[in-house]
Amino acid sequence: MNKDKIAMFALIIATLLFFQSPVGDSVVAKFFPAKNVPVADSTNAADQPEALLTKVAAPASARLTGEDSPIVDTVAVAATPAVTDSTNSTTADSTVAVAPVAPVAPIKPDTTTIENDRIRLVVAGDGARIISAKLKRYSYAKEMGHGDSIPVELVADPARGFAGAAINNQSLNKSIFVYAKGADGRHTFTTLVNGVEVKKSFVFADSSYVVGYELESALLKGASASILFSSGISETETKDNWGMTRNPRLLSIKSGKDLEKINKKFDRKSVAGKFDWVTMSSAYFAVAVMPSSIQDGAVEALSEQITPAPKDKPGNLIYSFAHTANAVGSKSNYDIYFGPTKITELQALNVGLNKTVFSGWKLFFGANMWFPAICEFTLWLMNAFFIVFHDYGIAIVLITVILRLVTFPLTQSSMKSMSKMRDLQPKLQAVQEKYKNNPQMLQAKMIELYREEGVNPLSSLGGCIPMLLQMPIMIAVYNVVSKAVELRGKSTVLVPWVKDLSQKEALINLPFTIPVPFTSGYDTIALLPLIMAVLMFVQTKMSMKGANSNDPNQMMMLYMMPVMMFFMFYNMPAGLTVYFTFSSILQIVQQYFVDRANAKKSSSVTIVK
Amino acid sequence: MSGGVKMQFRRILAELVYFGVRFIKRLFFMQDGTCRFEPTCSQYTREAIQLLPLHKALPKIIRRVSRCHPRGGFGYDPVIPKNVNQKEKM
Repeated sequence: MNKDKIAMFALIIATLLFFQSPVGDSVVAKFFPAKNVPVADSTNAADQPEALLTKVAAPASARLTGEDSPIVDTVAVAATPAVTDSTNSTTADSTVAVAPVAPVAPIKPDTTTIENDRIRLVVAGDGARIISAKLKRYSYAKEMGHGDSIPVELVADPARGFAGAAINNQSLNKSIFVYAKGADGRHTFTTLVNGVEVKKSFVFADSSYVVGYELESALLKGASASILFSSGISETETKDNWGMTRNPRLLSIKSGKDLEKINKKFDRKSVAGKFDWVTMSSAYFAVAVMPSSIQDGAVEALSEQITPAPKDKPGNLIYSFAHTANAVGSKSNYDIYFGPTKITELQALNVGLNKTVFSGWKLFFGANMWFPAICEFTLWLMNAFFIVFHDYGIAIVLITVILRLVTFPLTQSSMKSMSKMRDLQPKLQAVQEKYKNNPQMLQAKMIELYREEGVNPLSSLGGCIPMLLQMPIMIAVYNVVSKAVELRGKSTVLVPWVKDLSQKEALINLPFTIPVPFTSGYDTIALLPLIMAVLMFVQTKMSMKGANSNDPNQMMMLYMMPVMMFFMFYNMPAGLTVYFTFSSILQIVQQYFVDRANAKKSSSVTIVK
Repeated sequence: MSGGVKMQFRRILAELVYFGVRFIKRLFFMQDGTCRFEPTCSQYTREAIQLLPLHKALPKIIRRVSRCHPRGGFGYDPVIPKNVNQKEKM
């Protein structure tokens, strides 16, 4: 019996270790081959740009409007990894650019900084592309709470940038634009393409994460216009326990009622449809592109591996895309959202962008429909508590209390019943032993025994199924704590040493990393997981009081579970460990009172007897 | 206990499933104690996998778990009634 358990644990550990090892990686790679665009390194691309382009452009040309499609080329350029040397990229790209080719000498065109109180965009003169998009109200985790904070940068690769333009699939990214400030927050960039004026404008509003984008030219009449996000969205967070996979980067595309979320590796994707928006999001930030007129269009997207990429994990993928649609008259308009994935902000846009944040598993009772709503409600509640107490730690604790109150009838009846059953166990076993050869008799005797002792398994609220109801709420809390940007960088008075509830807890930061299998290693000393494990041990011990202490199953529950929980939660967000710790405390308190009430009752029964 | 790799595999699988269920229950603070049946569903599952080949165990497990509702009956419901089991042993 015990041998089996040991074998089981050995099997679990061996399996986990196997998939962590290089051997396991190669096996995974064999069964799930990565079908990515062959990513050449920058020197390679510079050497043979045509080879790369023809390779990628060939299948794509059929998909778009049927013409030869240099838009693909622009995205193909995006397929090369970050080009740090700008002159290098110019030479590599010059074969692509159909627009007036810039002089051979590496000109550094002027860059223009445009900002409002929330975002700061830097627009490059060549192509009037956004080469930097910073959010003033959010800073990097490392700098958080350190006074001079550095705002987060959304552009992963400035060499490619955001919001490039193409007319009839001819990229304007190499055209030199001239900046002029217009009225009403309008910033216009002008260039000449084949002698025709092309205007590209960004329209800023105060206190808004949304920037208007307009491409205007006589060339656009009856032509197609593309907006190119050749750079993906950057990583703003440090790696966590699961190596960034907790919140992988997402590419979400919405057309009508269809919402497609992509966090997998794909080759090169081209979809046609009427798109409401295309969004690329990271853990806490998003760039959403919303066409002003929803009409037939095409989205072309590309997934790439971030370098350095030790493993083929979804979190290490980055997506770039282009949206193409026919121009309306001589204009092509978009709204672009550069901001946090904050539900209230996204909801205010009223285009269903909030759906990119929380997701559910469709196969589980259509959870994609109802689960995000639970998450959003939990978050709304948390924010409501935050408004009152100005502390997300307290908000989490209050949510725990509410959850325990809601499920109180269920937990209370099962705790009571369990407490009684525990006392009853010796008698029950005696009956079972006595009538083991006569199931009908045994059944009758057991019912009799239950009745005598006042235990009624039928009185409990419909078996175990209602207990499952609290599962979605708990998963919602987990989701909210690990995804809500509101908790990013928030500390709590309950655990003063926690600087950020959305990050792993660090009582002491270690100068080195302790390698721990199955995790990215521990580089902090944390206290909450230990407290949580101890509380879990205490609670199990309480619930086992008086039970046969030689039962190997009970022993496994008693010792193995807390140990496993400890390792599992070590690098989890502190908000989650706060939740689990407090939930354990509440359960212990409840257990204590139930046990005490039960002990009183049973002692009074003996007195009567 | 009879030997054989197949039996051993079954027993380990049974432990694995049992442990998995317990772990998930613990994770969601789910209490034992309201079981309508004896043995409990997780014990029943473990026993079924141990004693029966998978294609026979699985329907039994599904039937048992789906009976865990207010009109699903209650009481002593082992995988194989003990007297039958003993006959087998003899």
